[in-house]
Amino acid sequence: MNLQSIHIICVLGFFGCTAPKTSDTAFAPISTSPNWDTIESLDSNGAWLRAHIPSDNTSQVWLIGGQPDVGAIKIGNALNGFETMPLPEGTPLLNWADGTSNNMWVGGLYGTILHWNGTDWNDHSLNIEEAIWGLHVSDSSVMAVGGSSRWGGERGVVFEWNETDDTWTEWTLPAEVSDINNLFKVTHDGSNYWMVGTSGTVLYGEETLLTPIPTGITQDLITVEPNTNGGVNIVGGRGTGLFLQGNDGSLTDSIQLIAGINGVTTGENDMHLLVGEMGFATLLSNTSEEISSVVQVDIPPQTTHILHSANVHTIDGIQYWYGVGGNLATADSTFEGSILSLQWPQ
Amino acid sequence: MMLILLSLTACRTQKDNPKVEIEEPLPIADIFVDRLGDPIPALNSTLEEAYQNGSTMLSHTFTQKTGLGPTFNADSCAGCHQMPVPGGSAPRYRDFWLIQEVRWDGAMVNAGTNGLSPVRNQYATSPTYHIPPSTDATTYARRNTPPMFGVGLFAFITDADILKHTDPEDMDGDGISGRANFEKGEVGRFGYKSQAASLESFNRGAIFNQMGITSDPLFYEFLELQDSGRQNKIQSKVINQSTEPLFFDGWISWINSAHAQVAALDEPTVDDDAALDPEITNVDQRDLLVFSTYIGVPTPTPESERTLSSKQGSETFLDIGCATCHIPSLPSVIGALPAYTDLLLHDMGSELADGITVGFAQESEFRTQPLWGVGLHPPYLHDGRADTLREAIEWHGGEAQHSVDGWLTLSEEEQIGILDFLHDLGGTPNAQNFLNASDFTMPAVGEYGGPAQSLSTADQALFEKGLQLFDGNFTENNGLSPHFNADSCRACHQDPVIGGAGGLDVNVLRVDWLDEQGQYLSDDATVLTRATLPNTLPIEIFDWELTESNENSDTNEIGSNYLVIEARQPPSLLGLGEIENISQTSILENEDSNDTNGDGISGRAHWLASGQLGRFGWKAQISSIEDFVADALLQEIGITIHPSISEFTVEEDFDTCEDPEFIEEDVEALQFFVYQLAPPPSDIETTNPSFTNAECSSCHVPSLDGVRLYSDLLLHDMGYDQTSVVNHDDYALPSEFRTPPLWGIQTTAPYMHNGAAETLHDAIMYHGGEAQHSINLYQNMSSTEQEELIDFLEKL
Repeated sequence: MNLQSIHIICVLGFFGCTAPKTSDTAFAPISTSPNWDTIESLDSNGAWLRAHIPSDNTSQVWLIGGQPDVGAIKIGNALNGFETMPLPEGTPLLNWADGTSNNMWVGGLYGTILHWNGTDWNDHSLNIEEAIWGLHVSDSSVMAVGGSSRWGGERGVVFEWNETDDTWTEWTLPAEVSDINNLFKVTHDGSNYWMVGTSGTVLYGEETLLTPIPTGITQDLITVEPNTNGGVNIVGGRGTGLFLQGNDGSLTDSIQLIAGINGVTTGENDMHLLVGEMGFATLLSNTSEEISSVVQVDIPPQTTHILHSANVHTIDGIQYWYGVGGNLATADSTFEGSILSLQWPQ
Repeated sequence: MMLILLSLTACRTQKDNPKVEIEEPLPIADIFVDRLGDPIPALNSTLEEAYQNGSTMLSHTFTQKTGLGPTFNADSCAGCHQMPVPGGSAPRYRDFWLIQEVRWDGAMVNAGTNGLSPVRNQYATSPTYHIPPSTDATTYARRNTPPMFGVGLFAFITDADILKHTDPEDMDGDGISGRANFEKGEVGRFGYKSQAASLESFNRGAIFNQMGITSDPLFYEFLELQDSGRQNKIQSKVINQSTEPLFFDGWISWINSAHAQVAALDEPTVDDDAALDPEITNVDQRDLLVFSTYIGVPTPTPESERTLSSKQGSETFLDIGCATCHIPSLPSVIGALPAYTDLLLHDMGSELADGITVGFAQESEFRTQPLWGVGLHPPYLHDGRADTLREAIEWHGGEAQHSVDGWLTLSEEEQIGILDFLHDLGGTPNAQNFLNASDFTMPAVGEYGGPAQSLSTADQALFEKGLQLFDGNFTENNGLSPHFNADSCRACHQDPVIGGAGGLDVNVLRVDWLDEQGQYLSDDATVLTRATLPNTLPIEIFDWELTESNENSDTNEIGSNYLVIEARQPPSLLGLGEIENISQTSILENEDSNDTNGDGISGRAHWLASGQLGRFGWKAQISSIEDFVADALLQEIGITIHPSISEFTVEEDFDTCEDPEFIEEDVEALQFFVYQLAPPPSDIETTNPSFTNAECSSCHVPSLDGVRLYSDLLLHDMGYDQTSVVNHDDYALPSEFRTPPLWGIQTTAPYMHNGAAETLHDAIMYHGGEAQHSINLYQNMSSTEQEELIDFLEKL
């Protein structure tokens, strides 16, 4: 056991400074050190920011990113490499994708929203300055959230697509958070939407009735993803990493990490991968019941890029984890990027 | 929580164990220095070089062009960490405010000027950046600048060695809890609330929040020297040249293994000004980190020299429980650090509670302050409310109440014993109420800061007494006003010597509102004093509430009124005596109020209501050094003198100190010092042709009565409109300013009445009104002629 890189995580008392939960849950030690393989180091041609694995073709990884004026998508996996997918001319930087391989929605700067139907790209862009940071696609709807970026926009936005008349309807934000400038992600737990954004914002609700959940957190929350408990995992922080879990409109637990966290994914045996600033990545074990007593194994960084997205899929019985990011969020906008992968367990 | 922390301790003991094996008893680290500001002994040459550059950077003055602002409290690190040497602490005039507010969900959020931190900034590089505090602000907390001596060495203490003293639920029942604060999962140790785990993080926060200087995380700087990964970053080009088997080879390793560099990501890398980010290079920032890591600790009194009282005091210190929190020593990877702190948070009671929450620290919780060198730096406590160690002890409460109760039952002799013991912890021999060092050598006649002429022995003594009074700090007990801009004359007059000019960070801010007819709304300018006595809120916080209706902060429009904020620079006082000696006739010879000679230059003498001719101040609003001193003492410090000396004082002011607060003997010495201060030395005897060709000498008259000050001491229309000047002078118009003397101008940047010009070229171009013709002539000059003109000015 590599004790130098394994530590139990400090539990924070957020949520109005309530006492954190404690747990006697035994943890499963992680016996060997994980290490990244660098699949690709991208130069000034693109800052590959995030990845999405479509539910109908789990061997595919869609990488979404680009430069401010040039969006780009690559599709592939760690075994076979990645190929560039053509995009409509004039597509700006893309931020997020959700959907299936023949029903994929992607969002980007300046309200850009594109739809891939398996054959063609169709433009469903909003006429706004705000960036679309997150999308959630279901059988019945498409939700888009976003806000300001260094290239424009100033307010947090939520839009829902109406398939019948191909129009977007903007949702009104609750008064308590009406002045926030960003919502970064949206997901659905089977009953309600969860949205996260700046200054610890967490929104929960359905049918345009969003309720802000008190968090007591003042840092940005970046990503919300469904977890295996029917709830959600939420990560964020700038500098200080935050990993929260929520269920039924309540936040249940939280831990603090040493770097801001942007991406989270859950693999087999409830193993979590968290990625974030300065190439930080860590595997968390045994988080299914309580996250207050978990084992954390840092993955030695292979890049100083900000990792924006964590993903996992299984090919031929082997679990491949991904950490994807670039340097777009730093002052040094050379638009480099990194695609990292890791086979785990080895 | 306790269970978790115990688990954490157990785990981190293994994780964080340094490579250096710690044996008991651990010898005290080699950290003490005799000369304050020196690094701890035995740095290798590379670190020594970095330390020296870091020391230089500490005193480096930032300007708007090099990144200062857009809002700021100081223009250099040493602006606050100034006494008794750079790296030290600051008197109360450098206190600053933290502001927080409660959000809708109960979260306490920062509401400082830059929108990120709780730090309130006094100054802005443009009036439009003067952002009023949020009207929702619920908490204002004062902070006094702490000294840096030895603080950086806390980086070498393991998390485990701090955590093992925690007892958050007081399981041992001693009434002392002790909680760690955390930053990014690491144990905090820096700051009044142990809010920072990383010195780099602490430094980057300070330079951003206090000066508006952006920086990049140093991670890059060090990572590029490594093969890979965050772990094992031992091999630094900077560090590993050590030939000694010291810990220094591993300090980068140590700091990095504690994730310090990752921890520093919180601070922004960009800001809202025109200077290229980062505004400090990684190398300079790294060297600042080296400086703040290795700045040495004041040497304690040798055991052999300690008095019996002190030795008994140390026993009493233990007996009444002070050492439960002020534990004498913490182990570290470089040896024992006898800092007398546990670096943990303790509830200090409602009297000291400041309402600020940061990380785990709640309103009444503070880190146990280190006591090494404690004799060095009054005022004491986080907000500087205590002028003496006795007061500081008695302000303790909460978990320390039991110890305070014990203190109060001690005999006077026993209490003095504890105070003697504290003074023996170091610093007291270096303690001084002055910026000038105790071994300061008085400049010779005619030199910067020296007298203008040879003085008799008695007069020399009076001059030196005046200097001490000028340099010394006032406190509440000797008349310091509840609201003040400075607590000494020196605070605003120290560039390049005491008696000189002041920087942007000691400007006096004056505020008023213009109505639609261009009339000032108030009878007198409101001065936004930069500091207050304990338990007094700044004036500005109340006045800014008038701006609640301000819906357009970019244009300063407030309803139908217009907010005017004007900064006034403290001018150099060098040569004031010679100016006073200039005859009234010589000044009036250049007056041409109605421009009868048609040269476009008027020049009005400023006649005061008393019938005297004004010659001092930006508006020539004061006629004598007596009045100048009286006015400054009252307006900037709040010190009254006897009304018979000057009409520029008051019989009574608003504090509780008996008036007059400055006895006549002292007033006389202070006036004598100012009167005798030599003009800036210069070898220039003839005026440069370019200066003459640009007709600068029309107002900047080279000589009056043989005094080569380059001023006519008259008022001229400079073309400024009312939206930039707060003017309540009955005689001078808002646009009129006295021609400032140019002697010694090279050492008095920034320039103009508001410090808006960083360079002499900028200053020339800032002129208007009657000087517009000269500007045109200057602009039509060749670059060589312009350079000659600037060069000439620099040599004045």
